[in-house]
Amino acid sequence: MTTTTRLAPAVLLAALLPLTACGGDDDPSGDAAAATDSLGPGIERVADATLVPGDDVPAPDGKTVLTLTGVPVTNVGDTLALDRETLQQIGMVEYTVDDRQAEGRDVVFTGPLVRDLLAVAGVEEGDGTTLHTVALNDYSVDVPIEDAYELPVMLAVLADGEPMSVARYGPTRFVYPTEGFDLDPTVYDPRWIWQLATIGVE
Amino acid sequence: MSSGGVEAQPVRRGRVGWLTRTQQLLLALLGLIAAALVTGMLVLTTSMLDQTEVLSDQQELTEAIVDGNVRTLAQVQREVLRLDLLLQETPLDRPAVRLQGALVAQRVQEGSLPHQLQTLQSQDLLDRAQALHRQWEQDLEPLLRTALRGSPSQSRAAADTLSEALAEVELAYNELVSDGENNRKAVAGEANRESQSMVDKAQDLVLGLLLTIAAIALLVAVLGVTFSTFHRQRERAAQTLRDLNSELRKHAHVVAATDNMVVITDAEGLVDWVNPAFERRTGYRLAEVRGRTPGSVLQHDDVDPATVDLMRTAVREGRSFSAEVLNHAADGTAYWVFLEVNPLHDQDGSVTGFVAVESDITERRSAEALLRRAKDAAEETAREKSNFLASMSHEIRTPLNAVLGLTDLLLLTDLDSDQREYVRTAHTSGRLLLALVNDILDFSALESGRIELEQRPIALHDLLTDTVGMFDSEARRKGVALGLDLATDVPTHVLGDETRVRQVMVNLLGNAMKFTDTGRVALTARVGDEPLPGVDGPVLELAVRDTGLGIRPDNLDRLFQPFTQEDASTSRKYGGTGLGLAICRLIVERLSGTIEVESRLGEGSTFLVRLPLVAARPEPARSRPSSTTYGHVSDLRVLLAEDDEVNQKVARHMLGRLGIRPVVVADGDEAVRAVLAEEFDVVLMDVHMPGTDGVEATHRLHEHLAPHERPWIIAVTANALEGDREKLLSHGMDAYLSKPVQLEALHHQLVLARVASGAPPLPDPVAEGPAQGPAQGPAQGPAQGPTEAVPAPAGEPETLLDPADPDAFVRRTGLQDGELYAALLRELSAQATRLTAHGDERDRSSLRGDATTLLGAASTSAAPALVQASLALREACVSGADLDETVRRVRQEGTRLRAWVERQPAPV
Repeated sequence: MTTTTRLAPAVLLAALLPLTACGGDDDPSGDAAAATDSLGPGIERVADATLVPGDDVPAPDGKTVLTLTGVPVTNVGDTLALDRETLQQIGMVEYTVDDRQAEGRDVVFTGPLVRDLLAVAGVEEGDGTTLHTVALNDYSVDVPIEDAYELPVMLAVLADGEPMSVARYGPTRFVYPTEGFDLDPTVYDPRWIWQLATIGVE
Repeated sequence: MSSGGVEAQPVRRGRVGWLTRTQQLLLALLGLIAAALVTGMLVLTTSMLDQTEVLSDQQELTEAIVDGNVRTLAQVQREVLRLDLLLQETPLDRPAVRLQGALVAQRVQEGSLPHQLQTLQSQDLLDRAQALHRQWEQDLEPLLRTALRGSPSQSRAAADTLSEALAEVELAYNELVSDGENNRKAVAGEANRESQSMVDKAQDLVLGLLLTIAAIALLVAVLGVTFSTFHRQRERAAQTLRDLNSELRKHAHVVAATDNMVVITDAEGLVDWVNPAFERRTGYRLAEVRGRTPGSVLQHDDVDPATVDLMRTAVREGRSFSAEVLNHAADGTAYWVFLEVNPLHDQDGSVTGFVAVESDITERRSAEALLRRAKDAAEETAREKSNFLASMSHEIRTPLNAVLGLTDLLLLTDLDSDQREYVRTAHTSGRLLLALVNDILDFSALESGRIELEQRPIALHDLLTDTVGMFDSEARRKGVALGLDLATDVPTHVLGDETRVRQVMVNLLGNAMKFTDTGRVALTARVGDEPLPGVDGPVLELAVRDTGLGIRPDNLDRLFQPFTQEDASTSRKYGGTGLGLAICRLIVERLSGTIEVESRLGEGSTFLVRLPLVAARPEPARSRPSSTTYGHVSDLRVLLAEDDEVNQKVARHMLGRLGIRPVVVADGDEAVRAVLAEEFDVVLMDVHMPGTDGVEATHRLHEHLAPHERPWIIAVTANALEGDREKLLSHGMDAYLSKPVQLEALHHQLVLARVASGAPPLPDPVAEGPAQGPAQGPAQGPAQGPTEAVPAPAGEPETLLDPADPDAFVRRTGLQDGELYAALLRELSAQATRLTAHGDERDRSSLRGDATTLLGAASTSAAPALVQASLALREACVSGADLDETVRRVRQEGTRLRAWVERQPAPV
């Protein structure tokens, strides 16, 4: 009897240990390839970054699909202009969402995480507060910069593996996870900006 | 096993368990509160369910509102309009148009998403949106493509067509937006309403909650009160129980220790419990009597059935009762008990049993019986004493009267001085003796309270004057002044008993006269100052003052006691019975007054009588009731026919003693002349007279006068030979007297004559009697001895006489004792019956003696009819006539007398 009572706390402690391991912090820099699942359920890294923060970002060769303002790294004037290719070099993730607002079905989106984009743009965590996003059709929404760091918000460039036409809500759009994060639609639905034109970091 | 140690009675249970009204109320209240609580809970629960329902409804609505987005359709409108605008330009800005086209395409597609149902809230609207989408894809996009890729003219044409179409599309989307907006408004409104109802329900909920809380609070409070009440009640009940128990113990001790028997029964009277005293007295243990009625055990056949009935009825009716019952102990001995039985009641008032307390009264009862017997014996003795006294007085008086009469007569004859002395002494002694007898009777009657005193109007002034006047001659003889002093405020008439007042005053004045040789005796009457003790009203003070011997101080106290005179020498010297003052005191006390004496030896005495003074109006003069008064002959008009002077003198004296002053004639002729000239009632006719003798005179009177005109003629003759009487009577004499005439005989004949002649009744004899002597009250003198008799005159029709004359009796004897009188009469009638029992067998002389005795008794007892009858019998014995008739008459009168007595109302 006495042995069991002496062992019990040790057993209890041992049982509790694994729980502490779970729910670890997302580490955006480094070890990204090893821990894709830590971003969220069903989120995969599909392309490693070849353009990493600190690198110079070349001016776009093709059509500029996204312009960042208010960021340290610039390549056209005081803005950072990016084309599809450049964007895809930042390192892409891929996950499926219920796109009921736009396509009205589940869609697999692929694209860089917004935090990665910001990092490339020279924005460090703690800089800035808001991402002032504006779409081609003049829709605009201010996204709190924390979203990018706390959530695997994606700058989608491919929908179902295909680039998106304007008619198909392209060229780029913000995509939030619809699974595993329990986001309040009232708050986050408006942040699903599509036909994205510019992001102003403020 | 002892039956001591009373069990405490079990607590009586009411019909509603052991709850009091308060407790019931509290319980009801609790029930109500509990019900309210339950209801509250139910309401709350229902309300909350409702709430959740509403909440979920609302949530759905708001979700719709949240999810819905009218802006999308408005955006379609915008893009369409912008495209239209671009299409208007010439030349076409193809890249811009392309971009715009793409934007429109995207918006139109977005607008037709099922997602939009949230916004539109109507499938109908969604259908329209989807139709528009199809229209764009199918009709308008090709035009756009043509406009973008075709030749300028193609492009222009396409652009224009597209522009027109776009206008319609834009309009359609405008409408959609409006309709959608209306729908949204409706939804919002409903959501609001739902909110409102939620709010209301929430309020209800809160209210319900508050009520429930309040109910709970109330419940707690009531419970608290209830508990404290219950607790208090329990405490009180416990205290009451303690008190009751201690009381019970006390009572149990008493009941166990007492000598009185205590029995407790149930409502039917069956024994439940008895105390030790019961067991001791009856010899029955509790076990032997329990469950039986006490009566069945203790009472045998000798019990009074009426008492048994009483007890049974009382038990049946549940009443208290008490009774005396004869019980028997276990060993058979009988004893009397006094039962006190009381019912026991419970809280509802119904009888649950009886408690009987019995005390042994056997001794008391025998004591009572003894006492009763003693009382009866004492009363009997008293009665016998009275009768004895009454008859004794008669027995004594009769010979006394004879002695007095004869000594009186003796004194009239020639006596030498020694003889005179002896006779005088004898006479005086006789008088004294008679007075004594009268006084004893009077005193006895007064003391026993049998005397009834009158309350009639008295002519006070007259009475006092008369009384003083009675002593006039004596005062003059002794040389003592005699005075009467009447104060002016003394009323002439007062209420009272005249006889008794006179008796007292005569006594006092007589005493004063007796003991005063020189000086003055005075009677004063005045209205007194001081009131009498215990009596309201004015006081009459009568004082008799004398300047006589006075009384020694040590004798003053005993003066009003019977038989005390100053000393033996005084009584010898002054005479008197020794009862006078005692009788005065008794009379005065009966009259509610006082009598006192003040005296100084050698100087004189004052006797003061104080009586309640009640003034009265004088009684209107009315004639006294007529009754044949016999013995009073003083109003007779008598003619004495006697030739011998000495005889004349003697006769005159005798008649004088009877109060008669005769007319005297010396021979027959004169007698006849006198009778014819005047009216006479009686003629005393000496038979032997010179010239015309009595017989001759009688003849002539008979010739001249009718029977009713003729006076009663009494022959007086010395010859008493046999046959003389007959001869005389045959000659027309009515009666005869033989010489020497005795006063008694003379009186007797005169009385006879009175009735026979039908003389009118006399007034009150008191006025006629001369001074009888100081110690004699209203009693008549010896002259009124037993010779008063009214026989039927020979040859005359009988007058029916009263069997008894109570008034005369009273007047003569002063005895107002009705019972005594009745006893006398009863004895008299018995005597008459005895006498006539063997009338025919007896010899005349003894019969004559008995008849004389009867006569005397009848006369004393004032029984006129019997007097007449016995006189007739005696006459018959003497005359030798036939006895049968007279004997029968005596017997008849005796019976009549008896009947008369029994007819009288009960004597007072």
